[in-house]
Amino acid sequence: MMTINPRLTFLSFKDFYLNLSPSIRSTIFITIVLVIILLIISKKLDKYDETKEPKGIILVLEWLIEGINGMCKETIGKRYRVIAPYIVTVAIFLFVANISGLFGLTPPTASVSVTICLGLMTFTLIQFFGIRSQGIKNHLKGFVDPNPLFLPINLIGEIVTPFSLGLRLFGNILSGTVIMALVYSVCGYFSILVAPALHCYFDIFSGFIQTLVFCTLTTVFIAGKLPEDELEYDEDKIIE
Amino acid sequence: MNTLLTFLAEFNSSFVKAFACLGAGIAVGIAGLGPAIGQGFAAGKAAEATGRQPEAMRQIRSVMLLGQAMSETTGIYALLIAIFLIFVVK
Repeated sequence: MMTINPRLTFLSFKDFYLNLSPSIRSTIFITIVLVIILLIISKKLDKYDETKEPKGIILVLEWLIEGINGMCKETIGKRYRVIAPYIVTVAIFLFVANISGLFGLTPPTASVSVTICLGLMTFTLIQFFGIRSQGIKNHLKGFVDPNPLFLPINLIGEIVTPFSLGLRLFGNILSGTVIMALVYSVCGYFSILVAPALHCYFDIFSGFIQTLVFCTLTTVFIAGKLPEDELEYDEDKIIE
Repeated sequence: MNTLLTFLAEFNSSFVKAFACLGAGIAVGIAGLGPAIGQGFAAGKAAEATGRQPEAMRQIRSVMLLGQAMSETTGIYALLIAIFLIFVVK
């Protein structure tokens, strides 16, 4: 019979947490904070009166979800309701992760493991939709199209997707972090004059653009695997 | 011949590091050209399109930013290679 010592358990968890690399630590921290904030917001949404004007955080969320739904309707069409939740999740996480340099954390996206992991998630979704819409046989047949000589090229083109997605994000955020570190080390105390503008560009602007690029590329890649006739958006024929 | 011999005699691990740093600089320098030209081209075309159709400015701007972020990719790859050269090569 094993007994659980709460203090020892806590200490071992703390040791485990402190031994992780800084980017993984900030990933865990950001995930926990986001979960708590979104839980509070969802509690708020339960009490929310639909007849009144939305305001505050609810307005922001409405704007975000409207925007991403619109983006998905344009590229994915009828099946947009299946994809949009994934895109919203990734967008919220990526944006908060990209701007977390402002809060003194190491941006999780400045670590190649986090970004390639996100790329692999997208890759899995792309393959899943490819198999579901064409059947596994036709999906595999697509690799030897137009003739078997193209097999290596098609395979490389498919496998490189998560790496290109991940490395693009990683490189952009890492370059921002490196340049900020250089500015801080060169300017010393004068960096208080220079740093805010650069933070605006490298953290907020670049982070937002990279989030947008990641989400757009995900939707475009998934739309490439769906049958043509589903891509036209039609209000009456939404596929759940 | 003499210089080659001197070079071989003095060749050691710090030379490897030096050439790695040199390679990193050259990689970023050359690869910076491509995206710069591409982004400038995209911005020029966007300016042209705005001149022709000023009411579509918001859409043109977002398309331009997205396209520029995509064309930046090759530069970013070069930057990654440079960073690996600096930090991984000992």
